[in-house]
Amino acid sequence: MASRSKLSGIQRQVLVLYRGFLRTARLKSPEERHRIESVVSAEFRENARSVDRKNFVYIEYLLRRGKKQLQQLKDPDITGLSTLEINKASSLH
Amino acid sequence: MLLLVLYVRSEKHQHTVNNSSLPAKSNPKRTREREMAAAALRPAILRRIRLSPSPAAAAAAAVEGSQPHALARWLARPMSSHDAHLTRDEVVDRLVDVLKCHPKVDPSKVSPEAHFEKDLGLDSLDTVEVVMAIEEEFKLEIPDQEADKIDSLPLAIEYVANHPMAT
Repeated sequence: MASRSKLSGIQRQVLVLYRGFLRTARLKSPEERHRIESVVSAEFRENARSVDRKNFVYIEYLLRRGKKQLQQLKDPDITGLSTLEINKASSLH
Repeated sequence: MLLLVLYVRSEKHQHTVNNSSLPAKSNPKRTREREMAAAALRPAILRRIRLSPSPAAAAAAAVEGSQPHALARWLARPMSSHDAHLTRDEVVDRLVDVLKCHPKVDPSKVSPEAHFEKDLGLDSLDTVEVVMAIEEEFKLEIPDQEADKIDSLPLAIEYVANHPMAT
């Protein structure tokens, strides 16, 4: 991954999803935002480290799940932390 | 102000009427005639009066036209940020500061020519964070397609310096 122009489509999707989470976190209170950012960042980094980059089926599953979680997080009533904690717990299996 | 001028003018006309009928000062009939004459003159006076303010009103309207209403000026304000556009040096300084503030960046390595991944050792997730921080610093919203391309400080400087809404 020497150059950004060589990013694959699926890598770009992951980055778009990450950006979406960070954008949504901005809409929450500063305290919540910080918590959401650290949880999301940890989740993405953990998966980037542990998931084989050729395991497209699993990556696509994570992308779908992440998109669904992002939709939920966009709801102004959701502070985000509980949702993310549950998901983080389930992803550790 | 305008009313005052008009009043003085009509007084002047009344005066001329009075002067013409000066001999019959105490005659009630004459007084009545004088009143009628004044009444007859009134439309003429009013016509003159009405004429006199119109140039002033036209001038006022012209001034109003050339100087936009306060609301219009306020609405035009965001557009005029082109005038007070950021200088390139300012953009470079602030972008370098944003980079230096990122927790994973070694501040001593930051230069205006730095590449996020090659020179600063950031990965693609860090780059997303940096671009988001740049958005916040300059109060921009960079679309995904553009944000994907920004992978070095020169590109970021280019993007922000050419962005009309950057503040």
